[in-house]
Amino acid sequence: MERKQRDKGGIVIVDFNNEATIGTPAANIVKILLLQARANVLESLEYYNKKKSEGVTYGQETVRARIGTWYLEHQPYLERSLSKTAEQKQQYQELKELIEKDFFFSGNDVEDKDLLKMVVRLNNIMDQLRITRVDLKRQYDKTDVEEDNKQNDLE
Amino acid sequence: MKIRYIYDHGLPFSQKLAENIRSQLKRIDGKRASLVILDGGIGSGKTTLAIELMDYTNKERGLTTVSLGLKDHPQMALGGKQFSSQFRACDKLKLPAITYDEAGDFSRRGAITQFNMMLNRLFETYRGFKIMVIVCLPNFNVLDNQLFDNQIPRMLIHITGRNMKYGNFKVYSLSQMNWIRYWFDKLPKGAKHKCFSKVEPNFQGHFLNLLPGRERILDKLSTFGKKNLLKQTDIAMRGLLDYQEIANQTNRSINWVRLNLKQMKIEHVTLIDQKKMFDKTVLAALYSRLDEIKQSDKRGRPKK
Repeated sequence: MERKQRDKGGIVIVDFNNEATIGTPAANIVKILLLQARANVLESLEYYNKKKSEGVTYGQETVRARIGTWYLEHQPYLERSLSKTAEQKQQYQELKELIEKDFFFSGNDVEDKDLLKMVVRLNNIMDQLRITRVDLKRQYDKTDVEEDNKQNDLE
Repeated sequence: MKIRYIYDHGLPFSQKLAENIRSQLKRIDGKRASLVILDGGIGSGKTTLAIELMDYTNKERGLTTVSLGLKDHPQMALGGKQFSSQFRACDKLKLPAITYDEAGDFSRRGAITQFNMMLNRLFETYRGFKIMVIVCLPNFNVLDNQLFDNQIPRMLIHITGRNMKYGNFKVYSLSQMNWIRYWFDKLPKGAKHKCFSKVEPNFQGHFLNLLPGRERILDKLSTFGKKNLLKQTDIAMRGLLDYQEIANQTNRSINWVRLNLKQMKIEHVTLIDQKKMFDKTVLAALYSRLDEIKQSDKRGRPKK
């Protein structure tokens, strides 16, 4: 039971030598870093998009580098999570190859549509793994009073 | 002005409410407690809607409409005293729902505590009786925490207003009721009624009046229950006493009181339920009578 909780990041050991008395589970910190990495990608993509629209020649270096970082941030998690079915394994393999080919140490720009496709793909994976999913609340008919009671653990 | 008594879907209240009442019936079939609270001000139509809901539950079970006769109304308990016996009657007749109409019960001091005790005992004991209980109250916040902790009230139908054509209601689930109670406690005294506007209802709807004939019968039944209460209030307000009460206060037997009042030629003020009622001045007269007797008491062994 305890182990299960620890795996979920539920147990927090407080470091009393530190002034902080409330600890933050490592899983939460990583989650925030992942979101931060994603925000960085979106921000650079937005800037790239803006420059392109203005007709200014602007390189993809920042966007591509940030996509690489975003991938690396959750690479072990992705590898582990996308290993249950053959389809998932293939999904991970494709992603890995694409990232390694186009987004690391490559001086060549990719096509804009491929850049966007990559961001969408990573976004989808994050949603699939419930990292960025916001609509987690179950949708149910609120006008059914007993269903509402049930959803609120008042069955 | 044309007044409707039934909607196109064949019921005198919103269809959504019917659906929810059906889930309550399913619940009691599974031997689970089900208490539906109807709350609203005086004359808002609580009893009317309660009867309509019971008519519906009866119809769902293939039974006739609710009987509202003065002597035969097993599904309508007007006041706490009737409730237990009516509940047993419902069980015997296999009726699916019973209404407890407070009928001014709460004007008595301590009645709320008794009422809560009764409800708690009822649901602890009669859970398996498969009867849905509808309680009509002016304000559901009088119910105590234990009922809510035991998750007995399932649905609150809060009646918000009524006009000549229809009445309005809002329905809240148990979870929403708990929030209303939270706000009721939080809000200052003058703004307690705002607790309902702080919580979103699960749904809202309308209900229509009973057919004129049925409404008259209900009025008769309802006033019959309230007449006794009015009499009791009258007695308390005027400070009237009957023989029993005078005997208790003077610590003498009823016969002694009766005889002495007759000897002193003190007449009763009024007759209520064929009981002679006296005003409080009789007590002073009887006390002085007692003093006289004590002084002239020569009975017993002579004192040395």
